[in-house]
Amino acid sequence: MRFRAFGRRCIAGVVVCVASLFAGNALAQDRPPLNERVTPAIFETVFPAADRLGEVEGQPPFMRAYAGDEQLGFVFSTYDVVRAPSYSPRPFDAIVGMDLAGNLTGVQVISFHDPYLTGFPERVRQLAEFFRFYVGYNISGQRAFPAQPDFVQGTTISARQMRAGVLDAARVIDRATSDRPPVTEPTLDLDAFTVMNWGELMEMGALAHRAVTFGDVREALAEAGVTPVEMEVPLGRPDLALNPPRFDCRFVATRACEIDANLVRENDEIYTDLYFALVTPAMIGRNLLGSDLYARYLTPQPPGTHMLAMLSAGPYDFRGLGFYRDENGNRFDRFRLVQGETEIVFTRDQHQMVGGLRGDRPRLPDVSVFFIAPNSGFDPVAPFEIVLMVTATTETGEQATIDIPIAYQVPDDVILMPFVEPAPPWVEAWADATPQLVILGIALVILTGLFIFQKQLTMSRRAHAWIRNAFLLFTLVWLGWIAGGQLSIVHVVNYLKAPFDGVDIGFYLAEPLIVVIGIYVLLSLILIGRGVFCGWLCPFGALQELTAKVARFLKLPTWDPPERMQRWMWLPKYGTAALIVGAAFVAPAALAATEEIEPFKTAITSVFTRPWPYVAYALVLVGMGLFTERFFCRFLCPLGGVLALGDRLHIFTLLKRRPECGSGGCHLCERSCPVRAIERDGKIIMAECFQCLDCQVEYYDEQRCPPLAKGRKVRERASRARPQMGVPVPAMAMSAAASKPAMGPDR
Amino acid sequence: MTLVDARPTPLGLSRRQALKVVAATAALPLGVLGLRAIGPTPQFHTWNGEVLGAVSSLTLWHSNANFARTTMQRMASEIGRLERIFSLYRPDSELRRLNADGMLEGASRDLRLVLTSARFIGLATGGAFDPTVQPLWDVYARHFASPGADPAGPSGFALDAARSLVGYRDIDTDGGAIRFARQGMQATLNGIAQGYITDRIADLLRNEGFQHVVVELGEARVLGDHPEGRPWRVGLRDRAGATDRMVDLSNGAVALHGGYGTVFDESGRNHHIFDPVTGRSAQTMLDVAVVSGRATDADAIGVGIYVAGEERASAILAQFPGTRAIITRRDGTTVTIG
Repeated sequence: MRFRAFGRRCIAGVVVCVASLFAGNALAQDRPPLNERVTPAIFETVFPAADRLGEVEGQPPFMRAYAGDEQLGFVFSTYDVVRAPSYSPRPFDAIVGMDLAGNLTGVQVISFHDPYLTGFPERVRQLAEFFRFYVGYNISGQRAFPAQPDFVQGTTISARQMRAGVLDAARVIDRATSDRPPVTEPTLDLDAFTVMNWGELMEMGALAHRAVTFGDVREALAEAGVTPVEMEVPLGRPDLALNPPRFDCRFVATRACEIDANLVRENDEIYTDLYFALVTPAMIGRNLLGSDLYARYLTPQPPGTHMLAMLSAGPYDFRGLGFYRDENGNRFDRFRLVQGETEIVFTRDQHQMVGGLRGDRPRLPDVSVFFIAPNSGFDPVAPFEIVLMVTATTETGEQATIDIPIAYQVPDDVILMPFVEPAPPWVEAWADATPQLVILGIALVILTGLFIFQKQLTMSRRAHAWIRNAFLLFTLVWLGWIAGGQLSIVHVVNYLKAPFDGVDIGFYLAEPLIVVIGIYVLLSLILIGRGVFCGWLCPFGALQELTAKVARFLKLPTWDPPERMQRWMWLPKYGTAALIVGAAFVAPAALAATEEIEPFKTAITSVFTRPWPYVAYALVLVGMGLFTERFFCRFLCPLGGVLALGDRLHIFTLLKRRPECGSGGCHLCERSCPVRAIERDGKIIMAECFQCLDCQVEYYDEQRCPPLAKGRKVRERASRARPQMGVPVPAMAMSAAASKPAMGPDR
Repeated sequence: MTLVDARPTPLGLSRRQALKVVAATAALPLGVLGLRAIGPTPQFHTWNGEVLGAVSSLTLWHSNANFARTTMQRMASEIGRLERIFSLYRPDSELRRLNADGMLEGASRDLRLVLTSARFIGLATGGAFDPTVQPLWDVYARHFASPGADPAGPSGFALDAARSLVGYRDIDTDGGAIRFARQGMQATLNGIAQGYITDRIADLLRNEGFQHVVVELGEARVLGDHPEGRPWRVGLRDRAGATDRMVDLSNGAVALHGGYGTVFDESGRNHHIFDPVTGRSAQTMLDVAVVSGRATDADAIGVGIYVAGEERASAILAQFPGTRAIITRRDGTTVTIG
């Protein structure tokens, strides 16, 4: 887990912090110069990779550390930079090595005045040990601290204070030596420079490369349906075997050779071997062109001009001859630059011929630099294409041009990115939870579908039973036990207390599953009632219901309170909710204890791994659920209480009823309701309904729902009486009716 | 079905049904045993970070790694918010602005709570704990920073001037703004702010149902016992850095204060725990470890006892039920009070 403290953000403020902390601290400058304090032995300790040090420079002073000619980083003293005290007001002094990326390479404390270090060589050794953990630590503070704290409580330790001093000093030096100006948007880094050879530039992605062969051109022409009659560099004939060449143009690159239409050109022979790069950044330009040419070309150009270097070998160079022709507008007609809507065709005055460049690189005889004007609309940090154009005259005398685009993106190494405040912890939480969110999202879509198509679902008793049990199993095992997504009264309490607590939104957002479930439950509560959560998405509810289903399968006895008694028994859940919410505001110390009314933590979140008293309590509740369906949900659950209160607001009631229900004389649904939320008069008490849809299964059951069964019998009788009328009678229905008379209280 | 079977039991169940009920009831604990055997086992989940400049960690014991991780991300979010209030590193923190301007409009509830706690403990310790001793610190730091400083400490004159700026009762938190009564007053919430963050996170975690937790966010507090069923064992670092002394801790916090922690001179007589009455470093004892329910209390009471001395310790502790102090006297003997 990653957590950044004040670290990075303090960089901007650290100079201020330091200045304000030590302003007025009129200490005499009594330390020898930095280069005298950094002895060879200390240098070896704090920067093992470097072999020599530069002069002392800068204010605050530092020295550059080199390996050969290459600068690796900096060496400086905390005394010079921040003059931080540890636990003596006289500042300590530590020599610190830091590489160019801001990683510490070594720390050696050379002077301190802390009485309980002075004269205790063992503690000094421990201090050195402590700082050894920080080798490789990045001063941006974006990584967890490497020195793992052991659980030791003592008075504050010098080492911590020294560590703060070391990091502050390193941040100041990093800022002071950074030639990277602060930017607000991705910007081309024009100034950064380190020596790089051709191979390193290629590896960095600074150069785009495309070797176009004669075969490629033939193929492109064929694809475009062009039969070339005349081309600047003719394709010749590809039949080497029949006509051996007079001389091999791959080695004798004369113009005469290039334009000889009778030459034999093999398909794999190079047409043009093209490299190009944006050379405005010194990192690329100076390395590719050399410091001299780079400065000579760039300096006279107006600020904001960009330079594109083109390099090629092969008969079809990128220049062509078009730019010599005034009637052509002196345009280069063999390539153009394309970036989105912007197309740039270069002209002669934007062109600088460059002599062949030396060095350890492919032999590329044609080299030019093209200048891109500041007002051209070109964005140097965005990708662009160089489109190589090959023109041919067809049999009809028309000019046909084929395009060969080559993509380019200036490498990240030469783009300065604006400092981005590290994302808050909740962003990380959402990224971490992506797979879980996908699973949950699918489940919620399915659940929503079940409610939208509940008629279709409940018309099949089997489908309903299977789907419901499968969903409950998913809710219990995945949502509850694996993902830990049990919504609980704790969340309600947290949300209720939010306005008084000052807790910010990040605290809640760091729980992605709960946020999504919470929003879904709130919407479903307003739309159709509490049952969507209680009946489908509550893992503990699912646990009770699934165990109760096993109990019904084993034909265990059941007990339900009579209607009048049940009305009283429904009330305690409002009491438990009030108790917990009240405790949250009145007696916060007792809150955790009252929340234990809920067995969710025990049975779901920690999968019964808590101590036995908690497990026993959860088991008693599950046990009662075996005999009285969802005993806890109906009578005790504080979250259920809160939701049942909210249920009063719901807009739609999807559960269908008939006039015969209840007062109409039929009590089938009332008895089929597992939680007895249907009263004698047939009314569904929505605040107690878990939306299991069992009553709807009865509602659509032609065999069991008396009004339906009656209608069916009437139809059957009618069809038996007048079979000649041809009323179709489903054979199934008839045989079922015959073998198993409709059950139910047809009173 | 035999006659015997048909005879109802007292609950109106047949014997066969009664047996089923008993069997089902017995099956549940067995099922739980099975779940515990095949399900995830609890383990420690640790978060490391940096809080107010101190290396910090949270250690949770839980079986659901997902839940533990999400919880720690939420706590990290809350810690970040509290840092933005109490940090001495951020120029825009509430505490920095309060000390700079002597007043703060629209202070957070958290800053008010910390100042209220400080005031309460100030009262309870008869002023021995005082969060406004920062000016004394400045006098000492300046005195010993100059070469050839008088080893006896700053002059009485300099101390008198600083002492006139000390007084915990003179922080006005009643109105809309927090205000220092006198210009130049400064509060140091060192320790008590860390204690507050520690308590706040510990309370949140307790409400989330975590039972074995170590919170070390500048101060240390534990929830429950060690999962092995024994109290947490906390080592107390002594003057020499050794941790031979152990304190058993369950559901509580411990804070250790010793004059040797931050000293101004090599004699060690001038250190960071000031007696607000004399303006001088307190010399009552070697160190004191206070065990209390809350980290905020443990820290501030410890300072108070260190300043007030052993004889006043029990009177102070009596006002905080469940609090005890382990005092190491200057002669090295140890006494536990409370």
